[in-house]
Amino acid sequence: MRFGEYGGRYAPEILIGPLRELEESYATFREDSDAQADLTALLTRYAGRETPLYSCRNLGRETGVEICLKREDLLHGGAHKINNTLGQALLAKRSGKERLIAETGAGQHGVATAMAGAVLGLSVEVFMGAVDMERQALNVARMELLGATVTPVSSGSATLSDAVDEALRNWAATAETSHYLIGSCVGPDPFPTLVRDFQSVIGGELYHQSFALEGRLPDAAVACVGGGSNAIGTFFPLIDTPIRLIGAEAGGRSLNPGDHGASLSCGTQGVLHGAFTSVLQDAEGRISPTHSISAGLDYPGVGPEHAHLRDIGRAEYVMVSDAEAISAFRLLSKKEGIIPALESAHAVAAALRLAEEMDPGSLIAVTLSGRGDKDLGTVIGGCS
Amino acid sequence: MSRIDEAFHQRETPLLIACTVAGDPTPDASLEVILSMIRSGADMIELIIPNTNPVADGPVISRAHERAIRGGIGIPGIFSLIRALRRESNIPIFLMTYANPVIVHGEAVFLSDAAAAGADGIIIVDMPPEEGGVLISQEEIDPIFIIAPSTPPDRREMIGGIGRGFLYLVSAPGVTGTRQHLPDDLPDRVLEVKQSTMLPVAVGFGIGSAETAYEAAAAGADAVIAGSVISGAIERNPDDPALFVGDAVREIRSGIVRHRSSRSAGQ
Ligand SMILES: Cc1ncc(COP(=O)(O)O)c(C=O)c1O
Repeated sequence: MRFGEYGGRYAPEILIGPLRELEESYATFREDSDAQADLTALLTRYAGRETPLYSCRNLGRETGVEICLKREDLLHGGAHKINNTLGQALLAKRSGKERLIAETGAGQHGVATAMAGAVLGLSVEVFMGAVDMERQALNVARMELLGATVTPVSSGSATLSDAVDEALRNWAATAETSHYLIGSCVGPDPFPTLVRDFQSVIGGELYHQSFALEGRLPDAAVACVGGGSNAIGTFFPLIDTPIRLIGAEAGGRSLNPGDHGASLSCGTQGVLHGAFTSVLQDAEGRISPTHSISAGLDYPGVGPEHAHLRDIGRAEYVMVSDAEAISAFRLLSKKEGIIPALESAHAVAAALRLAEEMDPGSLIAVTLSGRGDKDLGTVIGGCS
Repeated sequence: MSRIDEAFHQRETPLLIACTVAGDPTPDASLEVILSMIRSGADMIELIIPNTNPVADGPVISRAHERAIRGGIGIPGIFSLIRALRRESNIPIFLMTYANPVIVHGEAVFLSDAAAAGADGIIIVDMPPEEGGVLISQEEIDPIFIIAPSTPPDRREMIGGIGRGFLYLVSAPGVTGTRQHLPDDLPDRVLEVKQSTMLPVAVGFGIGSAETAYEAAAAGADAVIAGSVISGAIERNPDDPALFVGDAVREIRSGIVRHRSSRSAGQ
């Protein structure tokens, strides 16, 4: 499965069998009405769907543009990640797997995987960079409380990209009994499709809610892009509409290599973690270090479907700096009483910029991918 | 006939393929390491291109990737290393790389540059045949493919038909690294692979001692691949890696020799 020229299955031979098996079991899962009903029940009664579409009373009003928030921050666990982990964990369970493997950066995906594992009775091992474990000690404690084993990864820069490497290595040895529950729409085929489908509940609800509550579709939909899962989940169901689709990438502290995570705005074509996509790398294909104030956007690659949407001009990708994200974080907290995740604050900042240039009366929908409790230390404590 | 074909053709015992990360720990020291591997009895050289995300490698070779990157070798440096080796030796050399450096360089250009430098074959670990159109259709360098424990029979046949040089049979699920023993079903798996291809079969992953080299040889391997044990020797002896790598290669060789003598004694 390719998205234009992007995607593919650049995986070691040892993973080709497991990836094919996953592709087949997913095809069955999609057609299985029992499985789908089970997933819907979990999403509504366990995770808290559907999430509200909230029209901001204060934010952006001075521009005359209306900003709506798709409140994924209200989901169980505090982020959109649970849409994907419940879907994949249920798929794994129905395929007879006993164990889930996951990578995590900030810990949000690890927590969401630990929750899905707990509720479905699957054991969970989460790989996490040693540096991230220190930065996100609270999420490590949450995962452990939820019954997961958190394994530190100290190779490379000991952050998210290294954690993905280690999860892939572990899967190579354990695929018979384990499912690799990847956290974003990245990785070898069929992962980007799987994750997109499970996250598409965001855009699907948004479409109907916008008609029901606003009587119209938004003029633009904005979401932050790390690996790109909350963004593709927002965009995909809206692709055939005239809505402008805008992804906000981590502009970090500067546009120098190593200072940001803007894989679509600044990357070049290459293969990372099994997919041909847009990658931050040097001229010889060595992956660059990255930086973002938000751990969830601190990744040198991006889902291949986004690279395709960029190339065909269907979606636009903009960069939001650390400083802009922090301002938006504070502003949304003050104006609406909603503390966003720093990742989501990138989308809010991009929407505020957009509101300045759009006609009064326009409607912008922003996917608020998560809540910001986890980021108070970073913003208020001043550490990053 | 390529140098690889010739080596298998002329072999009396299973070949010893010694593998090291190019440029580990520095480009100059790496040349010495490889020359030491050759002097100590290696029949073929696998040269790994250092990568920032070596997802098929265990901790020992992963650290070798990191050392080599810090040591400053780049793609041109790797080609120079091969040219330097070619001035000294006619031993078969193949590259082992991840897909990204090849794709970024331009697949066709990379493959012909590698061949021009003197490489005889290439394994692109994360480029299965389905993604390897350019690799398979070119004629300049042997594309070497991997067969894993999870590779089903029909796929084994397919890969056995398109690979050149030899097939690389992974001994056990997982990543590179040394083991106490190879799996008990290895002889059966070697046989299955041999029945689905005309190519010689090399066994790799887990071989780091005379004992495991013996087991691979006894399982019917046409070649035995040793990697982590060499990277480990470099890591432990940064001041004179070549000397200790030589010891490691001789130890592996002794396992292969033991297999031959036990065969001639027993038959
Ligand atoms: C709240 C939140 N938003 C966004 C992201 C980025 O991931 P993606 O781009 O896959 O949605 C993360 C990742 O950890 C996150 O926790």
